[in-house]
Amino acid sequence: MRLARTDRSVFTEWWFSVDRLLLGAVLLIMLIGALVSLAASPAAAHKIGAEPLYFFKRHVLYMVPAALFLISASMLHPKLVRRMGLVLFLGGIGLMLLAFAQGIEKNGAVRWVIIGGQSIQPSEFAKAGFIILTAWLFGESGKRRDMPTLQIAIAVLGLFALCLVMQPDIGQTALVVLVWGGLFFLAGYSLIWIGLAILAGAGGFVGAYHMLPHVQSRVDRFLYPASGDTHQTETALAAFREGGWFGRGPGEGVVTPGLPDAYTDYIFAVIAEEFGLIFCLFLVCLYAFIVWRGFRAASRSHDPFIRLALSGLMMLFGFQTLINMAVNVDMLPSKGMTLPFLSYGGSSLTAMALTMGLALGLARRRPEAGPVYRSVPRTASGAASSRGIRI
Amino acid sequence: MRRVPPLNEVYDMTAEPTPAWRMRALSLALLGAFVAIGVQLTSLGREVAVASRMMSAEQQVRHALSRPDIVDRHGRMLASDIRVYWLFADPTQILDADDTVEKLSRVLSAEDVVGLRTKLRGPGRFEWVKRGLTPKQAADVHDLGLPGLQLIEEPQRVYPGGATAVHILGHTNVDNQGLAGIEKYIDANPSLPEPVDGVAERSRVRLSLDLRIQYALHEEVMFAQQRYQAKAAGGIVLDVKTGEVIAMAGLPDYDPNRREESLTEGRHNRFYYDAYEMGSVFKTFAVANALDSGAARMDDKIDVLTPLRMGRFTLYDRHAKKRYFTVEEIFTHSSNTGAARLALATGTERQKSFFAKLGLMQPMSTELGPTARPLFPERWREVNTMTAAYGHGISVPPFAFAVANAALINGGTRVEPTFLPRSGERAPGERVVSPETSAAMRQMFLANVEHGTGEQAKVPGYRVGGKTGTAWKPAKGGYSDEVITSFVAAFPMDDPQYLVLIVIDEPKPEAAGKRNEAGHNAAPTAGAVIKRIAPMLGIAPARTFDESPQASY
Repeated sequence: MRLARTDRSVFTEWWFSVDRLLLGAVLLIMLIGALVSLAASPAAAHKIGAEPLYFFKRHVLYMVPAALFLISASMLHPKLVRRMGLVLFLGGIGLMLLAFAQGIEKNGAVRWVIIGGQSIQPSEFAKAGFIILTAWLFGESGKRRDMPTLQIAIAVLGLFALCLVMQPDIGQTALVVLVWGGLFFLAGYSLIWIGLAILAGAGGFVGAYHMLPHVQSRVDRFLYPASGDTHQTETALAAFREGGWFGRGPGEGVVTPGLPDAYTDYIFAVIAEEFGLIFCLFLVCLYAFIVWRGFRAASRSHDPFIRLALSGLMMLFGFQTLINMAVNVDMLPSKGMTLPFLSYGGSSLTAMALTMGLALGLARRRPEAGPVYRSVPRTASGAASSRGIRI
Repeated sequence: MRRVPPLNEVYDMTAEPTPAWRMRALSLALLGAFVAIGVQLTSLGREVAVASRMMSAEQQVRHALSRPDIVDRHGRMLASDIRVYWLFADPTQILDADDTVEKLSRVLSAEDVVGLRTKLRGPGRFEWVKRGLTPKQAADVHDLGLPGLQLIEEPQRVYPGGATAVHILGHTNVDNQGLAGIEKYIDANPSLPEPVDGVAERSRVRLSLDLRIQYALHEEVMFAQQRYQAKAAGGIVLDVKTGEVIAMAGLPDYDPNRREESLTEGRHNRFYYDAYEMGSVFKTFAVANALDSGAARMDDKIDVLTPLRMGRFTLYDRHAKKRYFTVEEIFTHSSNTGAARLALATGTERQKSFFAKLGLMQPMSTELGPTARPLFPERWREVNTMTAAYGHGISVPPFAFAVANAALINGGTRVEPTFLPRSGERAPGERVVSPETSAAMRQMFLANVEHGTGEQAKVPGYRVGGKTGTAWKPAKGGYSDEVITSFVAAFPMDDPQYLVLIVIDEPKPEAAGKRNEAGHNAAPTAGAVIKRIAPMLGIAPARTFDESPQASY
């Protein structure tokens, strides 16, 4: 098939407007995810008594809907992205409430809901919706002063954070609050308010530290390794050292099979042991490239929604990656956070594919109006005139 | 004062919403965090993985330490490392446990594969098969081509001399960590090994020991143990001026290459770590103390005829002649009453402080750790002063006894014993007795071998001096019929360089009609040792009239 720019079909239009480098980087990471799963699967399967390639096969199986989500979401028009975000968020919240109703506890947390025999972690999907919704609200705040957009955004954050804390999932809560804060910063609110928001975030963290024993224990163990069991961190670090620059080879890991979450939260350590630090550095570059590429597209757009939503999705992707990696290399206390596209898990994989699909859709080059500024003449008193130009 | 803008108001009314600088700042912060991860990864890569290499959930493959060589004072090898192989298995990768065990049993010995079948069927990911394979065995195992087996190369300690110097060297465990002796000391003092120069590949620790002397002593002590059918026999050769231990051996001992032998009861260095009542050799202290304090002079005549009564206790002399003895005669005839009377004349307090000055009231400390703690009565009464004069009622480790005697004959200064070489010139230690007393002691040592109880220690051409001691061994409620005999000797007596102590525990009479006293076993053993080692130590025999070469022409 030969594509020509004169061809106006949906696919051709998509192909010429999509950021192909970004798309390529995402697809490459997904491919690496399958490769890593092939290497990490036997040890994990051995532990639960399944056939050696059980996890690999499931991973590949999940890659089909993931790829579908990625491509189809990247074809969406920003307006549809916005609606999609709303649907994802409301649907996600609904499912999270349903999870409480179902009450399936796993590792002391109610995160999973079973639909049609398939267990799903709705918060993974709700995250992307939440970011798009928040970006929408913040984007609107500049245009429509009659709407209490910020109040709505705070309420949305409160609702989502509450649902996450109830599970409890402190890692995701921190991530969501972090991204929301980033969007608040990007939206252009006064730095004084941003300072207050940081204080509030810190307060929330201190509150979590004091009210949730498992958070406290994890933080203590990070700050004072002698205060408790640091087996996971120790083993992860041992894996990095064991692997060295070039790794022990796929499936040759001897340290990481001892890790309880080797194929999910500590997949980075497994990669380090089996494929080596040079490969890890390459992965870091690849993730950083995606973030950089996303922000580049965001800063080129003049539509506040696209700027905010795209940056938000990139922050979600970037922060999640960074937190996971930082935990693996002992720069942060351990918390359950998956490494996008590499960690095993259907919900995580498909939701992340959807997230990146939406980001790709927003990052598409499209004709748009030039920069539109509200020209708001200041009065002598400094108060803004109500006569703005409405778009 | 600046007005806080209302919450719903954008940051800067004239600027674009979602200001570009903020987006740039945020994306740079994110990229900076990625760089930080990269930096951390790089620093992890530069850390050397030694201890954490190869670990499974259950067990970590331990790595043996590489140890410095141990050499004697002339650089002869006493201990070194060789390469061996450790074999372990990952049971999850073993395809057929029966087949694996069957094939391994052809290469390894039968006891190596006992219980292996069960281990290889276990759920774990790590099991030792055998540690310490020879290169040949390792090559054979490798050639079996079995999956799930792994070999690692590790150092293992070897002692070329076997048991010869084991009581000084000690031994290591399977991980090559020092468990006893100098080996343990090396682990506690990492700066000890000599820095490696360009020629020598391995670092090494030099000892004061002389391997040839050690071998001669070990062999003579072994002969003595066999000849007198003794429970144990041991000896020490000490440089009386520097305190360097030139040799130390005690039987029974063990081969440090078979460390499991060390677990057998009684194979430890009993002459260092156990305390004994030494008997008459202790008279050296009574005599020296009496002379040094002025309580007696060499030509004083001491009553050795009247039994000595002290409360319920009466002391007779068995081999006293029917006249009063001079101090020298008390020494050479080993008179108990004479020594006791000298000690009483010197005084209890002075006796105690004299023992303390000689280092006999506290455990002595060397690189091998503290010796046995001396045993003495808590309340030191006159009767204890009497018995201590001839070496009963006080127990000391023979090692400490030898070191204390060095002070009496080296000119009168205390020496600090060591197993590491000392350079020739050292500041003299604390003065214990005057040079005159020391000279008198040498004279008596010599006289005792010339015409006293130690005659059998005579070595033609060498002026050897010494003192015998035969102690009844304490038993429940008194003393048993078994004895422990000893002979403390020094040579050459004009200017003593070396002290030799021989101790024989529970010797039997060599033949019917012979006696099991020190003069008949410990003294000839000391003589045999000196005869062998004196030429090695560079001491030329003195020419005397009766030994001068006869004109044969």
